[in-house]
Amino acid sequence: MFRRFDRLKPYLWRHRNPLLLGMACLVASNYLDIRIAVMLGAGIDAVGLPAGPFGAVKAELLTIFLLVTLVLGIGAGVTRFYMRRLIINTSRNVEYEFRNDLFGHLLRLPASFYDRFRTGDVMARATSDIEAIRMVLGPAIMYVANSLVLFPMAVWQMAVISMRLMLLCFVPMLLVIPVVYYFRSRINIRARLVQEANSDLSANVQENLSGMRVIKVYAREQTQAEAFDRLSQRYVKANMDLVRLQAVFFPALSLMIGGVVAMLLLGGGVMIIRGTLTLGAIITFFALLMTCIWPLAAFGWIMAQLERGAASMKRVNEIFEAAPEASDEPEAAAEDLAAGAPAIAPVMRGEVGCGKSTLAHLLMRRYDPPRGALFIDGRDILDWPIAALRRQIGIVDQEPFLFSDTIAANVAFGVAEQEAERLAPRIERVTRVAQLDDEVRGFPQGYETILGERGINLSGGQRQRSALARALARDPALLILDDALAAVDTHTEEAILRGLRELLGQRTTLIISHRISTVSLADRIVYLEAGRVAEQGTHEELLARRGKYWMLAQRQRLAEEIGRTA
Amino acid sequence: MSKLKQALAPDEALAYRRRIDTRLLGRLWEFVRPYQRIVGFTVLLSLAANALRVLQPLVGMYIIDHQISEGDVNGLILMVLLFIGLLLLASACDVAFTWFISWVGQRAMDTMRRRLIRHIFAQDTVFFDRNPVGRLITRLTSDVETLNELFASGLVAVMGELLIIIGVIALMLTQSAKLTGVVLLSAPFILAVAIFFRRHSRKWYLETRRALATMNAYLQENVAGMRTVQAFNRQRRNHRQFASLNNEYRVANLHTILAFALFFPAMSFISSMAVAAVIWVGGRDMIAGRGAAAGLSFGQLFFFVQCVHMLFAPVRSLSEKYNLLQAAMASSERIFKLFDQRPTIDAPREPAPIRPLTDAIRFEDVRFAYVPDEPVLKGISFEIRRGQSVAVVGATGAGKTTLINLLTRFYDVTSGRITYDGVDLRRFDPRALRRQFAVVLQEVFLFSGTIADNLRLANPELTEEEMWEVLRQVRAEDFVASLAGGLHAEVSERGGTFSTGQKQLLAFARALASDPQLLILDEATANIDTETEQRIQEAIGTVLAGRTALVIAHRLSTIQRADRILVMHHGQIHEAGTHAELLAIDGLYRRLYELQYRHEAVADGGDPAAPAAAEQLTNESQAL
Repeated sequence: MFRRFDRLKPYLWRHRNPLLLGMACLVASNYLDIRIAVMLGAGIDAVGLPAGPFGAVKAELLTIFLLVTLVLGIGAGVTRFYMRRLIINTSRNVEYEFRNDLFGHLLRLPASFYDRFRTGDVMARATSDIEAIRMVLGPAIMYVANSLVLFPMAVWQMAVISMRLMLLCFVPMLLVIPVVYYFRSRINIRARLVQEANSDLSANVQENLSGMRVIKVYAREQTQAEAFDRLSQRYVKANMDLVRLQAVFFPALSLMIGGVVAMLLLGGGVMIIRGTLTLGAIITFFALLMTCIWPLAAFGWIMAQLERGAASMKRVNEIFEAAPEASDEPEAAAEDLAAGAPAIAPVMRGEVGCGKSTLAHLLMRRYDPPRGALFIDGRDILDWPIAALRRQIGIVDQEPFLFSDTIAANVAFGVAEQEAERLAPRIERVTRVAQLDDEVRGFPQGYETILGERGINLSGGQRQRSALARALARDPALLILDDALAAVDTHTEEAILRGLRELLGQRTTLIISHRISTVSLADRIVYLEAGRVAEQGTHEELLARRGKYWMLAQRQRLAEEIGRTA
Repeated sequence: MSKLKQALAPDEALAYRRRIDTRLLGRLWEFVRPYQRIVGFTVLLSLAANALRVLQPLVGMYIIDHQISEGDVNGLILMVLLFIGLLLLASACDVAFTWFISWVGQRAMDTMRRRLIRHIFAQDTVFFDRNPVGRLITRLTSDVETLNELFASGLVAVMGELLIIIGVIALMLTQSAKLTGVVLLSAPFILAVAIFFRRHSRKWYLETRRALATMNAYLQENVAGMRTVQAFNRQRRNHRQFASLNNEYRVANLHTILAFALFFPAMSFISSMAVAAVIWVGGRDMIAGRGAAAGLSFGQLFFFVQCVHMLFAPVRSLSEKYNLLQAAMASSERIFKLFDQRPTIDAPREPAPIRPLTDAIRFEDVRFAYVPDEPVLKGISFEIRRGQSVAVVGATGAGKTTLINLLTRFYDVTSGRITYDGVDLRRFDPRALRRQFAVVLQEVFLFSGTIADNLRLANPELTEEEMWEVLRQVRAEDFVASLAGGLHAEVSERGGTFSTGQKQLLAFARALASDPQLLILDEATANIDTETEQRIQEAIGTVLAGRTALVIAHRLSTIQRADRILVMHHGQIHEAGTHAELLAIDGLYRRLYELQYRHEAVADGGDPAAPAAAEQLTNESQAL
């Protein structure tokens, strides 16, 4: 199980100094705590010293005791402070580095990885799983080390005072461990049942809310509410099952602690009566037992943390073990794609699901085609470095993804930082081409308007036009429009296409669309059907052929006419 | 970067509430009131448990001063037994206390959840447009849960802890006012540390939450939009941005750790010092003989040492519970805000009684806008006579679906009116009104459960034979029969295991099972294989036969079955009449027909291109 944590070794090694220092503080603070317990007993005993040679200095002894305790107390406080800071801080620092590395890895994982793992799943691994691992690295390690250091010291000290009393009190206290373990394992099971009942309840709410219309049109509010009631009741029952254990667990624990104190009173009392032990020794004993109690009680918690952490580590490892995209030496081999590329715009058009978008994905190397199938400038696409390839391409996806940031930042998303100074005029130019400029200037905050998640505060057409501006801002050698203007009205589309021709001049454009108006001006049109090329040629050639393309053009012309007459 | 952060986590500040609002507490009490006797009992239990616990140091003192100093071993055993007895009693009280208080908390939260879901069910569509599903789920689950925690481990326990503090101080005073004073000298230090801790930790707690929410939002977006990130070669820059957000989270955490690292050792230090001071002052008095005169004994010294421990534990947990209390206040505020929302579409005080339709449903100059100044319907008038079926055709965005939304009162008209046998719809209870209709919506929503559960949606009394009969009528009999379990086959969430066509058939069966006199059908346009398409057309025929119906139609066969066809365009009725009449007037319908349906008519509905053509039309018309 602990092999899984191997990945963390280098991180811990990097932070070995604060960790070791923290451990040293941990040892020191435990030692000082024990000395304080001993001093308490000494103080009490000083008061009880019989009159005689020492009697006269009793008061002074007491003062010395006070001062020593003060110094020890300060020492214990300071070391405990540094122990927590050094160890727990380190766990946060490791968490930080680890999460950074995980994100870096995620950035390099290919599209196929994201087909397999849902966003929510990746999120859970990058957040709650890393937190669970952090709990192992910080608090759990600290408590384990604390117990390992404290117990031998405390037991030794107790044995020094009285072996017998130690056996009488400390050994029964070890019973806390099985009791805690017993409760913990059962509490965990029932807590899981509570969790299940809770997610059933949430799922029910989710379903009710999503199906609210059906519920309302069938006037089923009452019945659905009653079904919810039953789940709510089940949740209550699961909770009460858990409560029954929890209600007993903590009192049982404090009962055991009380039992130990009772043993101490009895055993210690008898020893004092027999004159083999002083009252001060009992007080010390009492204080020592108290310092051992909570580490013992936390035993179950630590076990639970370790189990959780190990499970989480496994899940995070699954991400780290996923293979990244074909290695991309980022700056090397930055050949210019546009150099010598023929100024031909092949245009794809065809039925839904015939494979148009796949072409765009292959050009972006989101997925790889077999070798020898796709060439750019005569070179197999598999031989192009990914980063260099993508730097030459501006793509507008079918469902463009915008980010929660300002419009300006979204448009400049793909512009390399070193080009940032010439940014303003370029952004203005591309937003004008994308027919976005006037509208954005109309917003109260203009280009500084913050987009909500995925740009929800924009209309579908505005989103597509923003994505177009984003792609153009890269000044791409190849522009790919994957059905990118579907939500833009034909009039605006015309203006956009006109602007594009001016801006891009002789550069290559791949337009994927099923609108005749979008593709009619292209140099070449490829009509796809069921993953195959059905027809290709210019608009005029294809119309003259009176084939599938022509049929489609007819239909769309009619549709347009209706719009005009109506 | 600051804009980015603002964009990522816009409303994190609402998570926490500063003050304790008595009005909110009053509303919370409403849910606990039915159990007030039990709550009273738990208060007694808590009193008893804490009193018994406070007595323990007294017993210890007595043992030291009497049995031990007098050498009375038998007495010692007796007293230790008494001590254990007290302990057992206290533990028993604790168990009972926790159980009862949790019971009440669970009941109260159960009541709250039930009322909340009914309240949500009673809301109108506008409410659901405004409140995302995720937010409502949070209200019903985690917010209610936070309140429960407040109740189970919070309020009454806080009372118990305050009680311990008062009890211990009172007991100390009975023993020695001077030593009590020495112990209480630590109070200002404790207070100072606790206040510092609370301020510091609260500030950084908020900052931690904010930083975490921002970082997670950024992460979420990058994972979801990874294609775009990679397409634009943004890996490095986004990695840097993420590292900076990650670092903010780290720094906020380090500050929180600082608060905790100071708090716990400081508390231990103060308590050690208090113990040392008690021994020093008490010891000096005893040595000087003053103590003996004042009656101070070793037992009392021991007693005071234990009292210090008893005083410090509740102070610690009180400062921890303060956070819980504030989180609970924020949750309850959000919950009650939800409770305070009233639906705008609701039953009138005296709803008109609704009877089966005898005459007609009329739309009279109906105008409607979802958003002010963006009218969707611009003066619609038509009627659906009893027994007549009316088909509506037109492009997407023409306002067809809005007709259904108004007829079922998901929204109310902006002006004009809709009447049912001459009575304005707004005079009916919407629930009673909806019971008159069977509605089949475009996107079929099946509930998880069994097929039988879904068929019984409108009529729970339906027998199995009746269900099979209905399935036979919509031609879904063999498909259901082929499922393992037949009628009792499990339907997964939203019917995910069925094809679109199968779901449609089940939706027809569900509508037919309620044997409606009025049918509303929003025909789906989805791509469906030829055989299922055939079945669906037949099913529609069965469902429509002899019924009063309003159909938003996409299939020629459905349109031709209708008694009357309305052609909608840009929120108005452009043409109306029968199929033959409309073809004769050479208008919009005729063009639509030529464009889209001719194929279908020629190919007898068997042309797989037909649905695609319909979709095509939809796409094209959107652009018009």
